[in-house]
Formats: sequence, structure tokens, C-alpha cells
Amino acid sequence: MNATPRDLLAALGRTIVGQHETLEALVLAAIADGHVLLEGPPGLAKTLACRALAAALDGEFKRIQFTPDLLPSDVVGTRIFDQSETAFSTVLGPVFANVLLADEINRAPAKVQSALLEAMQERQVTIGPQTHALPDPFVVLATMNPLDADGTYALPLAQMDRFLMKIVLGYPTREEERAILDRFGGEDVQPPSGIAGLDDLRAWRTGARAVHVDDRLKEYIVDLVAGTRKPLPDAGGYIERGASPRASLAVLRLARAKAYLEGRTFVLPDDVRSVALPVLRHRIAFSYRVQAEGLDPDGLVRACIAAVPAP
Amino acid sequence: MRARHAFGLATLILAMGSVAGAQALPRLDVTSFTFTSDTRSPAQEQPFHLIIDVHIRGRIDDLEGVVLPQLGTLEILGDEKHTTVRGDATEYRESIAVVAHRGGTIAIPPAYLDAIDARDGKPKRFLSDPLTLQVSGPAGLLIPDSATDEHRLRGLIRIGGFSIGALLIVALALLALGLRKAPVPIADAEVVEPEPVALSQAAPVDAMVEARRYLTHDPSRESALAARSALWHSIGAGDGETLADVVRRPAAHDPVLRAVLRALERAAFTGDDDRPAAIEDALRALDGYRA
Repeated sequence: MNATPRDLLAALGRTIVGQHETLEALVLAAIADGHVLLEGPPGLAKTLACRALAAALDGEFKRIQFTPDLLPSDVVGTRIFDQSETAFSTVLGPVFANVLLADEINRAPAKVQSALLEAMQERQVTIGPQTHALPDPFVVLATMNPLDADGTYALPLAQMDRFLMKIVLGYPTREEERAILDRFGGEDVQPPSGIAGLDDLRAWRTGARAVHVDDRLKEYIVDLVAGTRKPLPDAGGYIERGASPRASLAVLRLARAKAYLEGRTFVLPDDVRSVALPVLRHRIAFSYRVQAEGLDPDGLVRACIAAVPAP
Repeated sequence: MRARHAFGLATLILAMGSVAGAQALPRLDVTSFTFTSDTRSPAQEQPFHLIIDVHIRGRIDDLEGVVLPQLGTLEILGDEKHTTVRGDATEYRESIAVVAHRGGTIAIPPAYLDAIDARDGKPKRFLSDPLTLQVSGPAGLLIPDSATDEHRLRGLIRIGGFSIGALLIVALALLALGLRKAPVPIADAEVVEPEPVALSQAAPVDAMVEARRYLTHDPSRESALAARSALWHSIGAGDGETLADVVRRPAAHDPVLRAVLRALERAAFTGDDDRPAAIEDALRALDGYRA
């Protein structure tokens, strides 16, 4: 099909009004072979964006609504006894999809979250005696609603770390909201399908892995992540634990994906800096003081990033 | 500098826009905020001082939150701060000893201070004036070493550019004074990003000559970096910024100059296989700008 990532991004932009950062994050995560955590209030087209990504890639899309009574088998699948065959057969769960939307992931108990997060990490699922490989590509887009925190199970930091990036969605501008009325106020809008194929996505991943990263940029990435572990004196009281080396790898992968998306064969300092916030924001443990003093955690992360000079 | 970055961090945190953050800003009645140098034409390798003076109505023990801008190629040798209370006013003076290791024009963006303006209770960023220095003395390794006709002409262009700039500033100041209901002695702006002074075209042209020399003398990654650095400094950008920061500067609004900046960025960060072609492109872009 020979589509480019820009074609995919443009197609998503024709479906979703505004939310450019979110759409770009979805494309970058797909290229970088990672998963995305989306946080935002209801009604911001998170589900539509995920559905549009799957449709544009001609991939299989499935959605799981996480609830407190969800079981791991509802996610990964289970074995049932077939009386006619007098044998157990395996029923694969909704996790077997190219694009999986895990809606309100923090509403399910820890064991269900773990089942999904293990699948995300291992790219395979074991049901009974058999291990089943998940489809390739496999992208999980999980949403969290920052409101209505009652009855939710917060994701532990170790599990948050498995998401390549976390995107925080905000409300649209007045002009965007007006455009939403024009676009979605009448007939149902179907996302464009078949813009690129799964083979295209695999080719993009190969291309992104070949993008050159200068040694000074690797040093810059290490400095950025290390900066969250030894924060400057003014931020020291606000950060309890910094980001892990997995964050460094995530920045590297996403910076390559960003350069590839822009049509370059080399990474620039701007690529690194632009992906640092969504990579770091969910990997840092903030102290109680951040909430007590009403500070914006993203502001702290931005300050840590700004304190590291780019090469 | 590390402490200064930390200080900038604190002000950034406080300026995040949350109500709690805004309430944590100091409440000040700033009557003047100046950023000067004890010489506008320092000599290369000769220490001199940058001086920040802030006058505040009311008595305060110590003023925190004055943020130094990027000082470009200047090296900081020392930093002294004094807060003096005189009657019902406070005077803050910060004296920064610096030294220039390279000749040429250095444009320093304004220093700033975030605070709640005691006059109207709103959070504001108080900006000083920007500062432009002309460093004289022996030129750097690859800077042209004799005053040729071309350089004399460029000097005249530079003087002309600065004169026009100065006239524009005076005209704008007179216009602003005419429009204001009452005179206010400092920049009474809402919270805005400090913008560096827009230089005349002469400074980038000088830097481009220097950049071209770097690239033709030794077409390597290090030369590409040196050329990039020279051009960035010429438009007031400092080390530690990224290309996105640089192209937002008023001095980099020219699309042809932006093309040069992008070409140098590629030459500095691309892989070894692509570097010769990238340097060729950068040289073409440099020639295109100079033409």
C-alpha cells in the first residue's frame, strides 16, 4: 500500500477535531511498538480516536470496558468443556486484537489489570496448558478517567511503567467545539478505513529502528531521565522516586518514531524534548506535597526537562 | 548556574497557573527593573559586570525570583547580591562578573521577575530591557583576521542597523507614552515569555561567514556543531536551546535564515553516511542567505 505515517495522521485528523497531540501519540506509539495511557474526562473522543486508528490501519479492533467485577478470563480468554467433544476447548479473549481499547482500566481490580499488563509486556497469553501469541501489531490504548475516583483501583507505578507514554487530554477550544458540532451533529461519521495496512506499519517500525541517534542525544536522554532521580533542590521535596531506565528506552524509541514520522533519518534534540513529557509524567512518584500545595505534576516534569540543556 | 536553574525551576513551578501557585508568588510593588553592563564594549578575555537593579516600594528582607537570561557565550565568574532597605523602599542589586571569550555582538534577552503586582493584585512577569554588547579584541580562531573592505562595509551596515533599531525603539517608546494614561516606570506586561532583542541582519551575516569557514575548512560533525553554534549566538540564542526555541525568536523569522538553521541542524545530527550531503546542503543554504 506504501502509505506513510503522515497519511495515517492526516486521516485521523479528518475524523477527530483537534486533539493533535493525542492523534500524534497514537501514531508514534504504533510506530514505536508501544502502548498508550489516555487520561481525560469523558466525551473527548478517546474511544473514537482508538477506533479510527484501528480502522485506518485495517486492523482488528476490540474494546473491553473495565468494571469491578471483571475477571482475568474475560480479558485473556478461558477454557470451556465441550460436552459434544468431551474435551476442553479454548476461547480466546478480546485481548487478541491489533488495537485493543481498555476503557477505564482503573475500574478493574489489580489481578485483571495484571493479566492485561502481562499480556502487553510478554505479547503472549497462557490459557491452561497452551501459550498463544498475540497478534502483531498489538497496541493497547487504555483510558483512565481522572474524575469519579470512588471505587477505582489505581495502577501501581510498576504497571504504569509498561505504558510507553501517557497522554492527558484537555477540552477543545471554542472553535474546535464548533467544528465538532458541524462534523458530528448530523449523521454518524465513520472513521476512514484502509489508509494503511498492517504491513505498512511493520515497515514503518523497521524504518524507525534504523533512524540515526547521535551520541550526544543519547547523553541528553540519559540526563533527562537522571534529572528526575536527582531533582534540583527546589523540586526535591516534590519527587519521591524518579523514572526507570525503561523511560530512557521509551524516549529513545519515541524520538526515533517522531523523526520517522517527520520524514527524517536522524533524530534532533527537538524530537527528544517533545516526547519526554508523555514518557516521564506517569513514571515519576510525586510526594504528598504536590497535591497538598495544589501544584501541577506536569509542571514539575516540564521544569525537570527544562533544567537539562539540549545539545 | 545550577542554583540559578533551580531558582528558575521554582518560579516556573509557581507560575504553572494553579491558584495555589499564583498565591505563592511574592507580592511586590516594583518601581523599576534595569539590566545594564558596566561597559557596552567589553574587551575579549577582560572581565566586566552585568548589573541588575530592582527598586521596590515597601520593605522586604530579601528578594528572590530574579531570573537571569541565557548569557550566550559569556562565562560567569561570580555573582553578588545585595538587598538594601532605605526608608520605605527596597533596593536589590545583583552584580554578575562575566568574561567574553569570543569577539562579536552578543544579544542578551531581558532578565525577569515573576510576582503579584501589588498595584492591581495580578500575577505578572516584570521584564528588564534586553542588553546588546559589542565584544572587541582579538578575533577567534576562524574569525576573519583583517579589516577588509567587506568587513568595513559590514560594520557600516551594522551601525546603520543599530541606528535604525534605536530610532524605532525611541519611536515606539514615545508612542507608548502617548497612549498610557499614567506613567509607569517599568514594563507593566502580563505574564509573557521574554523575547530577545531582534538584531540587525549584519550579525547573522558575520556568523554565516564564520559558519562557512568552519564547514569548508573541516567538513566534520564538530565543524557543523561549531557553525550551528556561531549562527545561534548571532541571533541571540544560547547553548542548551533547541531549534524549535531558536526559530521562535524574532531574529529568526526570515524563512531563508530558518532554512539555514535547519540545514545546519541536519549537518550536526545526521549519521556519518549522510553528513557530506548535509554539509553540502548547509553550504548552499548559507550561500543562498548571503546572496
